[in-house]
Amino acid sequence: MSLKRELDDTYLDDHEWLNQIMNLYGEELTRIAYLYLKEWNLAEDAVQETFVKCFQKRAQFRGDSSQKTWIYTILTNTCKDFLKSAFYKKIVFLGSPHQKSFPATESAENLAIIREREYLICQCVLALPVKYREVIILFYYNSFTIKEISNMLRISEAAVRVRLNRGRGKLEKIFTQGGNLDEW
Amino acid sequence: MNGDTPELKNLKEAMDKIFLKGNHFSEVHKKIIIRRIQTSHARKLDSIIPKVFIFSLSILFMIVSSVFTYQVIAPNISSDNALENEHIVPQEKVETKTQDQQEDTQTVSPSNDSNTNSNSETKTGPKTLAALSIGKSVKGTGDLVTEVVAVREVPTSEIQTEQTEEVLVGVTIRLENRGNENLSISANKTMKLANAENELQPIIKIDKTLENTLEPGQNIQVEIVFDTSSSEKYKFYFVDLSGEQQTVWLFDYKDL
Repeated sequence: MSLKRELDDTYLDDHEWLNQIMNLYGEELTRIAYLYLKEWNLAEDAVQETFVKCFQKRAQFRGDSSQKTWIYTILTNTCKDFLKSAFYKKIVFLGSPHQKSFPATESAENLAIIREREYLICQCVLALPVKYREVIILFYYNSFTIKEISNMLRISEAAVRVRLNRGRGKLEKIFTQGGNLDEW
Repeated sequence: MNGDTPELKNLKEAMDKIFLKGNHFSEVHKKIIIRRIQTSHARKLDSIIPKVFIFSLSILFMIVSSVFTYQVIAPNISSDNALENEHIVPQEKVETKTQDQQEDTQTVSPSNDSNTNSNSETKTGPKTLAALSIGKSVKGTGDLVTEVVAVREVPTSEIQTEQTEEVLVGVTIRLENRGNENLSISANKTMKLANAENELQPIIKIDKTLENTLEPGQNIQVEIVFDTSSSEKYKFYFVDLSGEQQTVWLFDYKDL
C-alpha cells in the first residue's frame, strides 16, 4: 500500500470521526464560544479552529479524560487565544453584543418580570470577567463537574470552587444594586 | 446569590432562550471546517512525500556508501596493509614485477640451481614471490604466517664439539597458524639457505618444536641452524606448504 493511500485511508477514518463530533458538539461549542467572545462571527471562527485542532491532534488524545472534556478544553483554550489576540482587542463592538429584544409573546406582567430577571442574569454573567465567567458557564450552563472544569482549565479543584464563589458573589452584588451594570 | 439561585440553575434555559436562541452551527460551517482540513491535509501530504522521498534517498545513499566502503575500500586497505606487513604477493602482482626483479628471483631459486644439494629435486621448483628483509612476514597456504625474526652466527661450541672453519648460521623464524586446520611443517622441505653463489647450505639442527603439528591459533618460534661456507650474502627460502611458491629473505654476513 502506497504511503499516500495509507494516509488517505487514515484521513477517511478521521473524516468520519470528525463528522460525528461536529454533529454532536458543533452547536453547543458555538454557543460556548459565543459566551466567551460575545460575537457570533468570532465564535464561529473559534469553533472552526477548534475542530481543525481536534482533527489534527486526534492521535494525541490519550483518553485520560472524556472526549467531550478534551474537545471543550481545546475550545476554551482557543477562545482564550482569541481574547488575547490583538485582533480581538481592536474590535469595536457597535452596539450591545447581546440580543436585546425580548420575545413578545403573551405579555403577561409576571412573565415579563421573570424574563427581565433572566435577561438580567444572563447579561450579568456575560459581563463577568473571563476567569469567573468561564467557570459559571461551564458549571451552570454545561453542567460540568468541578473536577472536569479543573481538568479542562488546568487549575485545581479548589481554585474552581473559589472562582465559582467569587463569580456568584459578583453576580449577587449586581443584583442587590438592582441590576445596574454600569456600576460593575 | 448561591448555587441554588433559580436564575443560575436556569442559566442554560435562559441563555438558550435569550442570547443563544436559534441554530448557529449549520452544514455550511461543517463544509468550511472540512475544506480547511482538506487544505491542511493536502499541504501535509505535499510536505510529507518529498520528505519521505528525500529520507529514503538518504538511507539508500548511506547503504550504498556503507556497502562500497566495506566491499571495495576496506578490503583494499586491509590488503595493502597485509602486503605491507606480511608481503602477500598475489600471482598477478608477480607478473607485473619489473623484468629485473623477475630475473633476480629466478636466478636465486635454489630449486633451479644445478649445483644445489637441496633435498628438493623438482625440476620446475616453486616460484619466488617476494624478497624480504629480516623482520618481515609472509602469509601462505593454510593461513600460515612465517616471519624471519632474527639471524645469528651460532657458535660452533653450541652444535659441535670440534671447532671448524664453517660458519653456522641460525635463522630464527616465527610460525603462526591463523587457519582452522593443523599444519605439519617440515623444515627440510620448506626451509633452505643459499649463499651468495646460490649454493644451498645443509641444515644441521632443527628445533624439536617443529616436529609437532601447528594447531590453529598456535604461534611458535624456532631456530634452524645451517652449516654454511662463509659468504657475504645469504638467502633464506621458505617454500609455501603448497610447494608452488616460495619467499626469500635476504641478509648479509654482517647481519649475523
